[in-house]
Formats: sequence, C-alpha cells, structure tokens
Amino acid sequence: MMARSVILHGAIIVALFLLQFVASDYMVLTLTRIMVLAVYAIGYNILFGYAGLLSLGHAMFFGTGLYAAALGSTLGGMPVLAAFALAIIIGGVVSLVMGLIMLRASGVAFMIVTLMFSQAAYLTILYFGDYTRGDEGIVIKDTERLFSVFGRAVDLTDPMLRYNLAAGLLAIAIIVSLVIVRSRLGHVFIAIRENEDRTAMLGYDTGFYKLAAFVLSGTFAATSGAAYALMFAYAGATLASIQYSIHPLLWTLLGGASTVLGPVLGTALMFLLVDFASSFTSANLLMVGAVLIALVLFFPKGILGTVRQRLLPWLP
Amino acid sequence: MSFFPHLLLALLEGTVAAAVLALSALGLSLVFGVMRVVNVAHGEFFMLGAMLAWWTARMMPGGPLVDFVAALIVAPVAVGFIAFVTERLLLRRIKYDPEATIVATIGLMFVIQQLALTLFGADAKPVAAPFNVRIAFPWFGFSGYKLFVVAASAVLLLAAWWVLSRTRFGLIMRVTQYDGEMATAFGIPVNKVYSAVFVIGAALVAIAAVLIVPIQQAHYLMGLDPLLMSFIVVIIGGLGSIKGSVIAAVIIGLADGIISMFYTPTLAAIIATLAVALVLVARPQGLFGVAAR
Amino acid sequence: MDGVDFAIAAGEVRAVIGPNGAGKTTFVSLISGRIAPTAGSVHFEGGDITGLPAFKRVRRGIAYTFQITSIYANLTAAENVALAAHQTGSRRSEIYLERVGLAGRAAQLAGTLAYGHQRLLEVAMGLALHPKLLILDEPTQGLSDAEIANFIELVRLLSKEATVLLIEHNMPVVMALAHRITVLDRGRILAEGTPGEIRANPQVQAAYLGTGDA
Repeated sequence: MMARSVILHGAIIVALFLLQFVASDYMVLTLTRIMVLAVYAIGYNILFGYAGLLSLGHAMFFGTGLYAAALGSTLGGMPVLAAFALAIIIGGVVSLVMGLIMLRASGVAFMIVTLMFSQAAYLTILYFGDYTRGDEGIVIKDTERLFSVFGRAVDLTDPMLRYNLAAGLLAIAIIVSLVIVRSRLGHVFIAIRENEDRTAMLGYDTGFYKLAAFVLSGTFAATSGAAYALMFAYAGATLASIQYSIHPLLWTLLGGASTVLGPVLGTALMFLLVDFASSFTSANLLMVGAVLIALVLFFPKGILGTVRQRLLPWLP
Repeated sequence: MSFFPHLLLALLEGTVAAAVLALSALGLSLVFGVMRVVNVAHGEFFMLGAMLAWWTARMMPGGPLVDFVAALIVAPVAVGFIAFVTERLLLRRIKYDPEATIVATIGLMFVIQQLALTLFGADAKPVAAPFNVRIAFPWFGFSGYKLFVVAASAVLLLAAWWVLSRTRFGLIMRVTQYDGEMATAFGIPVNKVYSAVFVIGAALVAIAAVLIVPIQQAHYLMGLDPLLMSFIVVIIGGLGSIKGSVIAAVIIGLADGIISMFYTPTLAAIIATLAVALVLVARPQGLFGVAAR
Repeated sequence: MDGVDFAIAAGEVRAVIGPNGAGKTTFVSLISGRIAPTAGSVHFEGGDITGLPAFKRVRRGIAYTFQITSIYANLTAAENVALAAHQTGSRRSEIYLERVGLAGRAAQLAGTLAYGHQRLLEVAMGLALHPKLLILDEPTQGLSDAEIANFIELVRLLSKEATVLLIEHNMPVVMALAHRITVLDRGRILAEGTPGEIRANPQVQAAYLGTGDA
C-alpha cells in the first residue's frame, strides 16, 4: 500500500517535469503559476482537509510571504535566495503568533476570526502604502531577480528555468505533505478532525497539534507567496485580499480535501476553467461563487475524494 | 473648531455608526443564536437593501420622502424573499451544517456581488435623504436625518427585544435556540422557525441599509465593511448573545466614529480587529458569550 | 457537587450509583478533568491534579470511557485502538481488541459496528491507554444480557490490573462487580459501603432502590 502511493506521487511529479517539453509558451507560464499556487493549496489542505479547521484568512500568510520577499528584495536589497528564506521564516513566525491568538476561538468563531484578521492585514498593507504601494504594488526589477548558485547564474526571467524551479518546489511540497499525512502527526490531525473531544481524552494535547497544523499550513502559504513574488516580479494588495483566502479553499474542495494531490488538481482545474470562461465573460468571481455552492451542495468530497471513496481507498 | 466640539461631533457620528451597526449585527446574531449558522452573504443582503433603495427612488414618482417610505417596504421584502429562497434551496439541503453553510454563503456572497455589478454597474449611487433638517449646534450643523436614524434604530432594537422576550413567537425562537430537538418534541416546526428567523435577519439588515444609504452611497462592494464590523461585534459581544451584540455595537460604533474622525477609517477598522484579538486572548467566549451546546 | 469527599483505593472496584440527575456524570467529569471545579481539589497517586487539563490527566493514568459512545466512526476499529495506544501502526493494537473480543472486527469501520460492539471498542481504547484508574460511564447501557455477562467477566479481569470506577444503573452488574458502592443523590454522597450494607440502607432504598429492582 505504501509502495503504490509512492509510485503514484512520484509519477505525477515526473509528469509535471516532463510537461514542459510539450507545452506552449503560454501554457508554460500558466503552469508555472499553477504550480506555485498549488503549494499554497497543499498547505491550506493540511489545516483544512486533515486537521479539519476551516480558515478564511490564509491570504494573510500568502501575503506575508509575498511582501516579505518583495520588500526584502527591493527595499532591503537582499539577494533572491536570502529574501526567499527570510520570507519563509517570517511566514512561520507570523503563523505561530496568529495561531496562538486565533485558535483560542473554536468552531464558527474561529472561521470568522480568521476572516477578520486577514482583512485587517489587508487594510494594514493599504495603510502603509508608502512602503507597500497598495493596490498598485511593488514591481521587482529584472536585475534583482538574478542570482547565482554554486557559481552558476540563475535568471528568474527565464521561463523554462522558472518552470523547473516551480516544479521542484511543488515536488517538495507534495513529498512533505505525503510524509506528514502518513506520520503520527498526520494521524493525530485526522483524529482531531474526526472527534476532537475524544482525542483529548486519549491524552493528546489537541491545542498543540492544532497549532502545529496551523503553523505548517501558514508556512507553506508564505513559501508560495514568496515564490510568487520572486518569480512573477510583483506583489500587490489584491494578492492579499479576501479572494486569495477563498481561492485555496475552492481549489482544495474541488480537487478533494484530505487528499495529498487533490489541491494540485483543484488549482489546475480552476485555472483552466477561468481561462476557458474568460473568453466569453469577465465574471470570474461569479464562477468561483457558483462552483463553491455547487461543490457544497452536490460534491463535497471533491474529485479525488470521490475517487478515493469509490475506487481507490488507499489514496492518501 | 477646537477639541471639545470636535469630540462632540465625533461622538454624534459614532452614535449613528453604533445605531446602524447594532441593527446590522442584530440580524447576524439572531440567525446565529437560533440556527447556529453564520451567513457570510449577510453583507451582500445589506448591499442589496441599499441598491434597492436607490432603484426604488429612481422608479417612484414623488419626492425623497415617498422614495424612502417605498424603499422601507420594497427592500426588506425583496431581500427577505432572497433569504427565503436561500434558506429553502441551500441551507435546508445542507442541513444547516455550520461549515458547509459558511462555504456556501461565501459562494452566495460572490454571486450576489457580481450580479449586482452586472445589474447596477460599478459606480457609486447616491440616494437623497427623505428630509433635510439641520440641527444647529453652537459650533456646527448636524444632519437631523442622522439623528432620526439613531432614533429609528433604537425603536427597532427595542421592538426586537420586545418580540423576543414578550411574545409567543419570541418564546418559540428562544426555545428553538436553546434546544432544537426539544423544540421538535414540543411540536414546534423547527424548519419553519428557521425560515422565519433567517428571513427576519435579512429584512433587518435591509432596513438598516435603507436607513444608512442616504448617508453613504450605494456601491456593489459596500457589503464587506458591514459584514466584518458585524463579525467583530458578534465575536466581542459573544456569539449567540443578542444583548452582547447590542452592547458591543455601541462600544465599537462609538470608538469607530471617534477614531475615524480623528484619524482614518482604515485605522479604526484595524484597531477594532485588534480589539477582537484582545478579547480572544482574555475571554474567548466574548463579553456575554454563551457556551456552544 | 455539594461537599463530596470521595476516596478510592488502588485495585478497588467502586460503583457510583444514584437516581437520574444525581450528578454522577458531573462527578466523573471533575475527576477526569473535563470540568473544572469551583471549589475543592482532586488528588491522584499523592499528587494534586486539580489544575491539570484533561489530556494531562489521561497521561497520568486516568482513562474515561464516554457515556454516549464517542469513537471515530470513519476509522476502523484497529485504527481507533491504535490512536489510543499512541501508535501509527495497527499491529500491536490488536491485543486490546482481543481482550474485549473484537479481534475479528479489527478492519471494520467503527461506525458500522453494532452498538454493543462500539461500547466494547470504547473499553478497548480505554485499555490501550494503560490506565491506573479506569472510569466506565454506564458501559452496559444498550447491551444484551449475554453481552452484559461477558462484560462482567471482562471487568473482573481488568480489576486485577487497574482501579475501576464504575457508574451504573444496572443493579445486578453493580452487585456482581463492586467491592464498595457510593450512592449519590442531588450532588451529595448519600451513603457509602459494601454492596450488602448499601442494599440494607433504608435511605438508599427510599431514594433509589424503592422500585425493587435490586
């Protein structure tokens, strides 16, 4: 059973790398975007799909990574790798602090509170517009996106290179997610989701585990945000708005919450759907809303969730 | 204007804000109190109320007073109807599961927002106040209409309190809130009560919107602020406690008014959220919170 | 709870009985840590545990099986017990399932088990915690006579390794198992003693046994 999962996930990762040879330039760009955002969705899923906590404010962490990397790179003048690493660390710290505060609310109150704090973070970004340049956003110059690794120059403006880096990042995210889910940590997350009271009465410190899920999830989100800023040279307030909190929820639900690959599938599908629809309508959000309602009413397990239920019970 | 008149003006504005906030949050609190679900599209019901007020004014002949009265009828009825349909087709189907309701109403929020954009356009729409009386204070003139809004809100809040605590219908609502299963055992048609409560909650927020739209303009994105402020009020007051919501609305409305006047509205919103953080750390169930059953 | 001064000795099987509303579940919730006391203290093995949250008391050796069955319905019986045993694999957890007689149903989804078997699963999970004090809250409720007979045997064996605190309405079970009985009524201790003493106590009979069930 273990071997089957490893083979499946390994095959998907390999396929992702191979796609670049058959995709058009436009697809390469879109796929790069999808892969970076899929990291966000995978992180979100650890909290939502596995630990069972619905956060409506993850844009706060994505935005933290986004702006930390952008500001570090422009204002701070840091080299790309340093900005990236710093953004991840700051993301982790922010998740920890916010988690400690927000997890004091439970159930519906928790969900509302995440939405609230995320909006406050968004407003803060606008408030400090002198530094963040608000909706207009920060543009990272091309020269700032050149760095060298082991003596070789790496230019983030090169689409093929970007694609491979994104694929690599996603591969790491998938592997880490798989490891967590199969470990004792993952089992406790699921236990908390299924019956938190019971889990506490079995001797588990549920507060600690929920915080752990929260920090992991927020750090993944920040990593995705940092990668996004550095690869696409832009950090704008819209990327930290409510929409970007709802997106990972949507992607995860569509692809199948509580499956490792579900978020990846969901992200890809929504992008393709929006792309397809934008040829005849600009009501992007309307579609998001309609899909959410449809999922909740008819299809709560999402695609891979339903696949697991009907066909492949061993799917992690 | 020196400091104290400025403060008085801020307090007055804050009172207006508190009045509208209390009324909007009341709908949300009522729905959560009885049905234990949160309607994230609550802000969009507010926005629809405001839009309908504008639309009614355009359609109706006669002056602003006629428009106002008409809107007070059209908006709650129309928004109430949309709420009714939502409850029947959506909430009942998902059996009022709290998490599913939140996700579904988020979807609804986006759908309503975008439909409003398509139907009404992206520009802000002004609505004239039903009457134009200026109350002359020694230092500044203040809109009589705004004071009317405060009075109207107070009346509605008292009416809501009276219905909840003194009428049979209010009793039925409170019983259903306390224990839904027990209510069924007593022959109370819980589903019908839920429908009624959801519709009333929506109608209340639509009325609040009609009251406030002469003061601020109608805009398809205007639902988000009332939604978040309602959330803040409901969390600080304590989820499920209507008394708590009203008291929290007064405190936050006043604070918001004052900070907005002396600083900026953005900062006021940020500070309000920080207040929530404090409450959560110190007293997670809110000021008057009821523990969930 | 009103002035309850309660002590249980190691290795004892103590039954707590009382009419509905006497406060039995409140009482054990105070012991297991699910509720915090407004006054008074709780001591375990010489240490003061009053301030400890429930999960820490579990780690100290107090295990509680729920009155209303609370298992992981969507996980298999083996996975349920594995969680209790704090393991990732389900291998060693089968021992506990065997002891309650559920070994054959290890791979079955817990939610699909018959009610009586779910109760037994709860007991298995309690065992997997290696408790020093095992609190059983109305464990025989809903079980058939045969299942109850098996259960009595099980608790007899268990009592050799752990102290058992048993809340029960079923008087034959109480009489068969308990070394001593505590009777609660309206939040206070009405009487305490051996089964014989309790059966003969007129106050207890009036408050509780008056229907002649014993």
